[in-house]
Amino acid sequence: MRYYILRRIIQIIPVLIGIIFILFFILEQAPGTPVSYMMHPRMTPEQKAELEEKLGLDIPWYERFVNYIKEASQGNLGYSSTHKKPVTEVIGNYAGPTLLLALVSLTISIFIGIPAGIISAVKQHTVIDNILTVMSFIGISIPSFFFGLLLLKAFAVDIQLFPLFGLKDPLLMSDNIFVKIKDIAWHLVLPSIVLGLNSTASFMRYTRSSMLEVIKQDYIRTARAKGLKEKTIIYRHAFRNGIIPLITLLGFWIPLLLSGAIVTESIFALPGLGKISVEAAMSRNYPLILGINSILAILTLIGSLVADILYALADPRIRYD
Amino acid sequence: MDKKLLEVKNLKTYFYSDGVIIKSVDDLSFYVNEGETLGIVGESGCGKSVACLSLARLVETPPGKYEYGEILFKGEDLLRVSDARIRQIRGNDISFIFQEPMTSLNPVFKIGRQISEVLILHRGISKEEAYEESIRMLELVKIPNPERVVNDYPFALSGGMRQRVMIAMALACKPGLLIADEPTSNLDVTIQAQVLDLMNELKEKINTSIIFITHDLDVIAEMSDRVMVMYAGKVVEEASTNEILKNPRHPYTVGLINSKPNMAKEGTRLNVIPGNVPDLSNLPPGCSFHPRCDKAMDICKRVIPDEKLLYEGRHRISCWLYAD
Amino acid sequence: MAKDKTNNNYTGNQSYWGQVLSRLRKNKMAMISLYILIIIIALCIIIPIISPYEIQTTNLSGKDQKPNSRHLLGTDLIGRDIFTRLFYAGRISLGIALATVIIECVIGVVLGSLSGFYGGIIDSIIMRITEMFMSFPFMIICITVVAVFGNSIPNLILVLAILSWPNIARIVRGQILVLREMEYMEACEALGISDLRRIFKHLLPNVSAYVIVYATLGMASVILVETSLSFLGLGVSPPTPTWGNMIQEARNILIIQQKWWYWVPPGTAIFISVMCFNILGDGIRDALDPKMMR
Repeated sequence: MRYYILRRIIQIIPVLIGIIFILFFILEQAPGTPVSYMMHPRMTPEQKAELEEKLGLDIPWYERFVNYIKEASQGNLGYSSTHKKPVTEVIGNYAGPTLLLALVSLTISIFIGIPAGIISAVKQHTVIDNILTVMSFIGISIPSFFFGLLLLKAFAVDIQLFPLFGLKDPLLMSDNIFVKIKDIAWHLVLPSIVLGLNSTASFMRYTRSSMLEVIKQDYIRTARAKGLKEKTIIYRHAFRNGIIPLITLLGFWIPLLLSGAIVTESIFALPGLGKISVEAAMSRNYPLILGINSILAILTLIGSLVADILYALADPRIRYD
Repeated sequence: MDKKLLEVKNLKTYFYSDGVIIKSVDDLSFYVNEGETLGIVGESGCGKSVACLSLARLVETPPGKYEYGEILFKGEDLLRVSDARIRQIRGNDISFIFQEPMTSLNPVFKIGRQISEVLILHRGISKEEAYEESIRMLELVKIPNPERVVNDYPFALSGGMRQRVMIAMALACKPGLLIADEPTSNLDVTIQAQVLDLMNELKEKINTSIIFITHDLDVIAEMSDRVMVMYAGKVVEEASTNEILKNPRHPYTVGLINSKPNMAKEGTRLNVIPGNVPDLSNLPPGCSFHPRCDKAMDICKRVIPDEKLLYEGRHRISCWLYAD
Repeated sequence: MAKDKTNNNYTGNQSYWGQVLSRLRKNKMAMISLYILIIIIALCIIIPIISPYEIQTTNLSGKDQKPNSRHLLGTDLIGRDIFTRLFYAGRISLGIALATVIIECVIGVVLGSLSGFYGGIIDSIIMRITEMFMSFPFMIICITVVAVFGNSIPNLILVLAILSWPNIARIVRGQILVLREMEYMEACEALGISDLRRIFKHLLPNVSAYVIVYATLGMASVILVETSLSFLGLGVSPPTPTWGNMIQEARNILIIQQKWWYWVPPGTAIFISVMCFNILGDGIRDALDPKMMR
């Protein structure tokens, strides 16, 4: 088992380097160097060369790549000129809301999506199954920005129940930690619903189809023939098998949630990674773009590693490969 | 005087699908005495499996439905007892072993846990006691190294071993009736012989009655005291094993016995029963077998044969040839 | 000897596709979705004929009109007819989706087939590459690439296609692996049928069915991504309308509150199209599985 984990970690590293390589390569193709964006029309060629040297752009890109990897593995991801701070600091400042949002959404998805999927599968072809299935189709089909706007209109504009945007109330004057937490929580309600909708619906569908497969199996008939209660059969015998394909999905869910966060943060003006990614893209802030992408790639790969480990724990058959 | 453990009266189990009615079990009656093995023989689709699943109400409803009949087991009508009661009976008084040992065990639970489960459920004993009893059951079914196997997962075991585990699980609570639905059809011949021997041995030790479903006449000969032949959801003939094999009366039974390849008749063509198993949603009128019967008479095509008892009630048959 | 008078139902006289289509036709939801999509696509195609307006026709004195008899969905802030713009935008959004899906399928089928059929090193390399692509946060790479290369329509199509082919490749590879092992393939080999014939006559028809399923579902997801990008300002830029950038104008509280016809029609158009593609794709997938009996 430990050997398995080690093997997977070793497999991740070339993938990671490959990703960063591709990113580097893409950014290299940008017309004009980053310096072009910082130039005065009246800059002399010597000043331009000096600036380039200062930014390390005078060495060939593959060398820069190697340098980047070296620096990155020591925690230095470069400098963001827009923010006047190191990239790592910028990411650190803005990561909080995004992670919080993703975590809440993931929790909603797991605790609503999976049970809904089980119920849908057990009560296949009944009214409840049909309703849940339609809802799940809506959930995966409605564009998140549209849904966000609808929610905003209904609950923040027409009925002023939730705040319109941002993470905190700028006018809030309180040192009480609970008041502050409630404020943040209230700001996160609508964004979490928006971000969570798609993944909840997806989890529901995957759980449903997985459980339907499992319920047909012979060992479920055996369980019934032993005289077990239906609840035990579904929630222990069936679910234990049905959840296995879902676990592998969890690994891929992190990039999806983080992608979705971009749109959600944009609508609700949350100061998170999504928002600064868009800004970085628009202002051609390459170090920041590269830094964010790299961190997300690492998180994703870690996520799929965790998923693989959980999978091995859940399914005894693959542990002995 | 044999005591009847199970008596099935006029059982009808139908399936409803897409506006079509499939009469899998159509007015079936039979009984099983204490301590005996009843063999049920028939081609695929004749309703033998559905009949036995009906005994413990294990048929999926919908699309199935227990349309009619009584299933009397130790005085209770199993078709009418509560859900809680039938669950008490399953695994405890009536147990099953199925045809596919490779897929009948839950792949993510250890063997010990799967056997213990049925003991804890019906006997109310503790986990540790159930665990010990599981090891004893594994010994009983002659699995080597039971202390190790009890901690194994099903994928570590071969088909024959898994079937023994199924037997252990089925007999753990010492049920009065064991229903074995083609338990050896998917096993190698040598393993098959071992498993069948084991079943006979355990039947004595635990004093269980067995209903043994198969399509293989040799296995029937070895295992059962009485044989019931089914066709298209009905019984066509029933008698002691010896009677059936030596003195078959119904044309279908005759056909079955004759179609076994026989080395003594080397060089001649195989006897086959012409035609195919009928579509259970679209049965021909009268006797369901008449399209394939070389002795079909006019009445066979119109009226379903009544049951007749021959030879002082030891031989039951549904065929117009014996209507007098 | 008596003749066999038994009467069995055979579906064996219908071809494979015939069976699939008849199963699909029984799926009411899928058929409704198909018809809705046909209507939407038809409207997008004939919009120049039925609409008296052009997408650029501005009419400042007639701006901000609510839906009325002359402007079925009202006008926007510079007087353009929204109904007209909606379906021109549909052309763009659906067109981009179609182009993307075609390209990603071609790449995916080719690479997936190679991977599945030959296995070995080719398979390993291609699988590693797909794993790499699938580890990227989709949107973030999109915006990165768009930032670098610009957001013209061909660029968008290429980026989306390049990020999406790994999915198709994996499906195709999976199917080929399953089919390769099936006994009838061994039978083909035993009968001496050539490699190429095996690929074309036996594997591809089965694989193509699944490709169609994922192409349909792919349409749904590309529409969502493209419209999201356009909404963020990183997709198709105005004045060319797409369903996404028409909603962009709604990032203003006043518009959200009072002028719903700016953003609700395009949002609904996206929602309905995507939902129909999803239901249809799902329906085709169910129709392919002969064990699905309702």
